[in-house]
Parts: sequence; structure tokens; C-alpha cells
Amino acid sequence: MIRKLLVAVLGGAALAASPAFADIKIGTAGPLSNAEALFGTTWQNGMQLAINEANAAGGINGQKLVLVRQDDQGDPKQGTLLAQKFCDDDSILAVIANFNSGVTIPSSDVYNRCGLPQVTNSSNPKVTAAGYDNLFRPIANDFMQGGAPAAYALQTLGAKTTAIVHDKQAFGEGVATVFRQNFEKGGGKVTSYSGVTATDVDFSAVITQLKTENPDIVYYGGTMPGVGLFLKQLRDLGMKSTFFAADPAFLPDLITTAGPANAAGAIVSFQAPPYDANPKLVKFKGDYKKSFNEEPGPYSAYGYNEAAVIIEAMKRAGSGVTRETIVKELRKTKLDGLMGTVEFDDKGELKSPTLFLYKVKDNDFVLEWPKS
Amino acid sequence: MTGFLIQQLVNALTIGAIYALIALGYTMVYGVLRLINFAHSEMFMVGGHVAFFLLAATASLAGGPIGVLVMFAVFVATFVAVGLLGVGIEAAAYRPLRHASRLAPMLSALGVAIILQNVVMLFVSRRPLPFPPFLPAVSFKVFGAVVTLNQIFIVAFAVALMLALAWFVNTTTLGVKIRAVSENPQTAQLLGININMPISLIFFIGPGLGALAGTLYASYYGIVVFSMGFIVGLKAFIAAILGGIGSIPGAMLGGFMLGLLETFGAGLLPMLTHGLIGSEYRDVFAFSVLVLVLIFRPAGFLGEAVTEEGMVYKRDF
Repeated sequence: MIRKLLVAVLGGAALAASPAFADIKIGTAGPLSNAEALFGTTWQNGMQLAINEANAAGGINGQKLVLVRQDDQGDPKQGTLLAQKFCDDDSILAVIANFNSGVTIPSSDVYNRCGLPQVTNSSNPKVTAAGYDNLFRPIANDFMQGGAPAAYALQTLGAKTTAIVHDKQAFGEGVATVFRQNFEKGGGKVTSYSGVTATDVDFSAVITQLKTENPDIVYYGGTMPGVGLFLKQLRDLGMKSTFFAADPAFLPDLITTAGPANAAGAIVSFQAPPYDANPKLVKFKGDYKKSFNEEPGPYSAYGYNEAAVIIEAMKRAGSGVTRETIVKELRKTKLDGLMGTVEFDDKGELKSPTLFLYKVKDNDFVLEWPKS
Repeated sequence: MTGFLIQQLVNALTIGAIYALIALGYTMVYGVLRLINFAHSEMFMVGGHVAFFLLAATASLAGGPIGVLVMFAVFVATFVAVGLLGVGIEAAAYRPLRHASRLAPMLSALGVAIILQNVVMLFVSRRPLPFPPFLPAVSFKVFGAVVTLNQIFIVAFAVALMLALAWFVNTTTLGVKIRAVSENPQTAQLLGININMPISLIFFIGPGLGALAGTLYASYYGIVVFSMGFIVGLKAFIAAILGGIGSIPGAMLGGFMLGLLETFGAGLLPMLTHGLIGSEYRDVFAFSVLVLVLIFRPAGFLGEAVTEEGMVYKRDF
């Protein structure tokens, strides 16, 4: 009896929670509450903007699009839980998930099992290694992100030696390994390659070790706040080596955590050009400001692009829009996006990825490479 | 190489001083109540946050760099605020369980720790907050090592606090009462000591010191976050065991010893093993030390060996 009652109540709740019949839902999960909250929130705002524009233009076959925003806290456990939730919800036709490589790798297994089209923003090469045909990545992977800084360090800065530190996470260690390979291939010498604990705040022991090696470059593969603390302690202990970090450091928090004087001169790789790089981005920046009353975040343009490729695929799928047809149409994507054409190769990777290097200068990130 | 060793020594003493301050809170409570106060690590975390908001308030009022007076005012206010929180927690969560089995207050302490962490996470921030440095970034070169003003201050201030505590416990009347309760609560009560008073006092001083450690830690690393207490608290607990839990000089010694072991372990082992054991095993050193101490010297370096007789009168309190 009690069980029956429970089923009835739960069933009622499920009915009440389900949306109006005609809506098409796109799910998204990213970090909204941890140290990377700024990334996650503004990334999802970018998607929201693309969806608002599509709705204003009449939606998909007259149906309204809805973005279901979830917080995976950058945590693989949370990410897979949400993946199962999205899978079980039949009104969700596509997902943009996840932001962190360490979360996307396990969650992609879940999404693949239920055939849900997944567009991701994670850059680790392992993300596409499983070869899932429902997974697409319209952003440069870490082969690019580790490679370009190595080339810049060797050729432009004339660096000979580097010390590499990573935080042992899927992303940090992955990008550090690519940097190491490229730096060695280019004729540079890696003086040491060490790992630290991602949640640690005291790096003085390893930095003191680096001091004896006196490398031209110190490369840190890892996320905030570790990268900011590492940079602070590097300078506090008197090391002058040029500091390189990957895209998670592309946050104002890097400068506040490390201190403006310590952060000055640090080189950070990032996949997007500055928002004044082309007319489309300038317009995007204006629209974003109008909608959210703030400057767009680092990944807002990518969030917009990722939602746009899904919306385009849905439009092409026509009246029979299902998870399967979206996957099929995503493969044929040829979208004139905010940062160039988006096309996927047979692994779901972006065909012509871009990468930029920024230098910290006067409390801001200034484009350093390539000089236009 | 000398520069390298001296640099590691300075790093070790700084973090060791912070471990020692926190370890005092564990050891004092254990000494009197035979309770491992798992909520103590959160006193450290709350201390960092209280100081953060005090600083935010005063800095916006003064609009300039933090002066020495403001700094000490923040220290005193943080000590008192978190000290009172500690007294409140003892009265609410431990006192009603004082005559229950020894597991009960320990579980209660774990509960308090979880509550505090979640309250800060939900009502303050999940994101790490940048903590301003108290002192200007001045550094000195000593035999090839860089020593910052901040490091000197942390070690000096922590040592001063420990000396003050040692003086307080060893020479004042209140200190005598604390020692009496710690030696044998029943006898102390028979001699006319209201045992609630020294216990409350311990729950004022311990969390206060923990809070100051949290403030120093936050200003040293430039960050406060709701989850910062867990691992540091665990290490300070190891420091307390290393020195001999229940012994105040033991906690001080244990803190510095753990700082040295951990820093030199993380700094030297990668060199000696040619990278086979990396600095990422830093925490492993701390926990291996705990295992070794528990096997070979369960009473710690300065702790009293537990005798049959001692167990009898302290067991059921």
C-alpha cells in the first residue's frame, strides 16, 4: 500500500516537473560553484545567448528551445550522475558537457550508452580517444595547447631549459606531457618533470628544488587556485624564470591570487582570440553585455559556438528531430562560427583549431602570439 | 646546496609553526577530556574566514595598507570570536555527552565539523577567496636562500604564542586548575575545582590558537576556502600524536618535526631517487610518520606512557 502511494506521489511529481509538451531541451553541466565558477557560468551564458537568438527567430519547427543548466562542480562523480539524469530525461535531445576533461572522460561513457549527442569543451586528448561517434569537440585539444607554447618558448624567447610541474589530474598532466614532448623535440632540455597534489597550497618544497635547476621556463599544467598559488610562491622564493600556464589560468583570479607584481609577465595559452579580434566577436560582446549586464567570460564565445552547432544540426534534422538524427547531422556540421569555420573530422575533433598566447601586463591579459 | 637546505629549512619551519599552533588545540582537549576534537580543524578554517571579513571591513574603512595596529586588532578579534565559538560548541555538543561512552563525543565532534564546513560553503563561498598579505613583500637573502618578512613573522608570532601559553599553564592559578583537571578530573573536583571552568577555558584557548593559525596560513598562502581545514587539521593531529598527545610541549615539537619531515621528504627524495618518488608524495610522508609512530612509540616523543593505572582513572571520563 505504502509503496503504491509512494509510486503515485513520485509519478505525480515527475509529471509536475515535466515541461510543456512542445519544448526541446538541451542539457549542460559545468563548474558553477568551485574555483572555476566564473568559467562555467559565463560559458553557459554564451549558450543561453545562442538559444535566445534561435527562439527569437522562431525556434526549431516552431518548438521552443530550453537550456537546462546544471552544476557538476568540476567533480567526476557529480558529472556522471548528471549524465545519467540527462540520459533518463527523454525531452533532453542534446548536451553540452562537460567543462573539465577529468569529468568529460567518465561522463562520455554514460552519454554514449544512451546515444545522447554530446558537445564538449574539454581539451584533453583522451576525451576523444574512446572514439564515441556521438561526441564532438569544437575547440582545440591539448596537442595544440601544449605544442604552441613550446614552439613560442624555443623560437621567440630562445629558451633552452624548462622545468615542468603538473597537478596529476587528467588535464594538467596531459597538457604538461604534450609540452614536454614538444619542448624536447624542438631541441630544448627538460630539467625536471614533477607532480604536485591538486589540492595542495604549499609548493615551496618543489620550488626550492627548481631553484637549483635554474630553468629558463617554468611550465605549470593545472587548474586554479593551484596555478595562482604556485606562481606566487615561485616569485616569493626569488625565481625569475618565465612562467607558462594553460587555459585554466586565464582568469582575473590568477592575478589576484598571485599578486599583480608576481603575475606580470606570465604567459597563458588560451583557445579564443580577444573579443575585439573580428566583427562577429565585437557584436557578440555587445549582445552578451546587453543580456547579462557584464563582460563576456573567457569561454562565452565557445559556449555560444557549441550551442550554435547543435541548433544548426537540429534545424537540418527537420521535423524528425531525435537524438540519432542530431548525431548524424552534427557530423556534417559546417558552421560559420564566431572564430572561424566549425567542421569536425571523423573523430569529432575540430578541423581547424586555434590557439593564442596571452601575457599578463598591467593587471590584464594582453595578446602576445600570434601577433596579427 | 647550502642555499637549498637553508631554503627548505625556512619553508619547513614556517609550515611547522602553523601545524604546532593547531596541534596545541588537539592536545589540550585530549589532555583533559580524552576526546579527539575533530571539529578543531574547522576552527582553523573559520578563523581564516573571520579574519578575512574583519580585514575586508577594516580595509574598506581605512582604505589603505594594513597597519600593524589593525593587524593585531584583527588577531585579537579573531581569537576571541572563534574562542567563543569553541566554548559554545563544547557546551552544546560535548558537555551533554561527557558521561556517555567515549565514542559519542567523538562522533558529535565529527558532526560539528561537517556542519561548520557546510555552513561556510553555503553561506560564505564555495570559491577560494583571495586573502590579503599582512606585511609588505620584503625578502632577505640568507646564504642563497630567500626568507620573506612574512615567514619570519609567522614563526616569531607562533613561538611567542606558544611561550605565552606555556607561561599561562605553568604559572597562573587558572593554569594550575587546567593541569589539575587534566591529571585527574574526579580528584580535582573533590578538591573544590569547578571543572567546567577549566574545560571551557581550554575550549576558548584551543580554538583561538587554531583560528590564529588559520589566519597566518591564509595570509601566507593568500587564500581562504571552506575545505582548507581538513588536510591541515589532519596533519596537525598527526603532529600532536608525534609529540605525544596530551602534552603541550609535545604538540609544539611535533608540529615543527612534521614540517621538517614533510618538506625535506618532498624536497630531497625526488633528488635521491632520481624522480622515482616525486614531490607529489608529500602527504604520504606525513601519514607514514603517523603509522611508524603508532607502531614504535604509541605515546609519542614527549607523551606519558600509558600505564594500567593511568587507564583506570582516565578511562570513563
